[in-house]
Amino acid sequence: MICVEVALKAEAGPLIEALELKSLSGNHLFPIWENDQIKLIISGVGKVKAGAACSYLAAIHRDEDIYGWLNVGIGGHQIHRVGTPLLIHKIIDEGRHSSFFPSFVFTPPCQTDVCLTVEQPEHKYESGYVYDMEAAGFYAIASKLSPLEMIHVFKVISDNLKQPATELNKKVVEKLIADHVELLQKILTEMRGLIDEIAPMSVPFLDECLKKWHFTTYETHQLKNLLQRWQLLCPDQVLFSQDFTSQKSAKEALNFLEKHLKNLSLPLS
Amino acid sequence: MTFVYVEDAVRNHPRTLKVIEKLKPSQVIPIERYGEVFNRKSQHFRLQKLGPSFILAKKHGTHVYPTPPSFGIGAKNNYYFSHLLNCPFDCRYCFLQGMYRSASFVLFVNFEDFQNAILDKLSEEKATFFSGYDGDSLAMEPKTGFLSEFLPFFRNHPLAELELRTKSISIRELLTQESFPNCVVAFSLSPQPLIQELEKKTPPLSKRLEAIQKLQQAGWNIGLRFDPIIDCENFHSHYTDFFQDVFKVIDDERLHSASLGSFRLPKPVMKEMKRLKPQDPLLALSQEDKRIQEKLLFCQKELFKYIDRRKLFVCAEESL
Repeated sequence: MICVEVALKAEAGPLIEALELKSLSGNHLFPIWENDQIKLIISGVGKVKAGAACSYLAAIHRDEDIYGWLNVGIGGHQIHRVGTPLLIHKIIDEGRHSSFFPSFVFTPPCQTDVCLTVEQPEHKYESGYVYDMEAAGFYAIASKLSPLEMIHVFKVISDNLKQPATELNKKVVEKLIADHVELLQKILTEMRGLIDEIAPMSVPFLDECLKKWHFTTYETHQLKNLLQRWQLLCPDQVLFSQDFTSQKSAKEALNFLEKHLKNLSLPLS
Repeated sequence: MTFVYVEDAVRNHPRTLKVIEKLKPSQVIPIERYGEVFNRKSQHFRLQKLGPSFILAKKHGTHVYPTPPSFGIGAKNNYYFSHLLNCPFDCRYCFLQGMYRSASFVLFVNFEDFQNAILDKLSEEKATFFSGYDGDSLAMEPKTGFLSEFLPFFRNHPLAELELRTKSISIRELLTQESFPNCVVAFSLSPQPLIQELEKKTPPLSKRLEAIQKLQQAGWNIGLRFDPIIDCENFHSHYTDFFQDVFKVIDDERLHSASLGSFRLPKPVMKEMKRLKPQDPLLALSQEDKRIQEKLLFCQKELFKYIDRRKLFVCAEESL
């Protein structure tokens, strides 16, 4: 599962449509939209709200496997052409004088740049960076929830010195994002492709063992470890053999597994 | 190479400029210190290994460290130094993946400071300096130019012995330069089925043996590092055949040393590797001492068929 965070409803619209997201029912602090693979939250403007929205989404979905985070939004820049899509390779939090470096393990499908998160709307763009109001708040929280390689910030330039932010309206914002939905899908696909590397391993036959014998908490931990090792070292061997099931207690079952695994070598493919 | 991060302090260092020219990155990103992008909390080594970046930095503080007590090839004083962190190969047993959270390459471009630190360690006794502890010594040579700077340096200091530890066949620079007695090119070797299974992106055994032959012919001292020995299925036949193949090619007379070591990792490193790679059967193997010792003894016995006993060093167990 990958979570997408946007500040404005207008930024969310094209994504909701393209990704066929459904509104999450219930009373929520932030509007949330979802399908099987994506959750989208609309945070409102500002880095505090962006951070809060990430925390909220993580908290209400803590039983689900959230692997990545993507912030999508508009931003201003001194000279970049309106409509330019950018991934961000450095985020500067102007208020806190701190920086983050998103970590890329795939080739970015568009240009990358530095993003400066400010607390008030900016119209002069003196620094030469992309100006936004959420990225630093988003990244500060998302980086506590997922590996840095799974957290990215995507901005579309919405205003510059020649076309100031005062000319923006809902329709324009919607179009700026809609024009890059395909690119966003590419980024999400790249991120999804990384999930296999970090997904936890399931423990086979755990429930069956727990039903058959009584394990203490410590023994359950040992059991999980041994069952995982069994799965890795001798997946073709029958675990629930007569010999195994005839063990009388949890302790005996653990000893049986331990003894068997002790004598195994690395299988070669 | 997509991104190269460059510390402000070395932005204009001639070596930085040279490396950037060779890497041709799509983006050069300035940073204050390499710690901003390397080994950050929440970085994921396995993910980074899929697309590592390059970081050019200046090494501060200590440049040369003493090796663990059991680590050596005959000298009384043994040190290691790391001008490069991380490696382009992807060996499943590699301790780097449990040691760093980041798989990006960090190249410390201030080679001169390493050389001064090496000189500081020299006394009247011979000392061995190991390179390739935190990364392969040769694999990145075309990008880093490490050998072209360090071979002349060690040639001029005969009491300082250099060991280059490698799995790479990138030997062009070595063949260009004249060999000298206080340099050992030490190749890590494993049976081909294990190379295929565990040492992703490394050259096959046959290519490594070819490289060794060429270097021996050019007069370079060769070291053989059978480390780690892996407890695999059909262990005895794989390792018997392997040693036979190796010593068909290697000239024992010109062999500097061989070493043997088991798959051993400090506990915290093993724990981190298991966290990152719960699906890896290698990490699920029993670490029982008796079993490991039996395998080491078998290999030692086999090796004595081919080499002088005085040339074999066994790296003892570290805490598991």
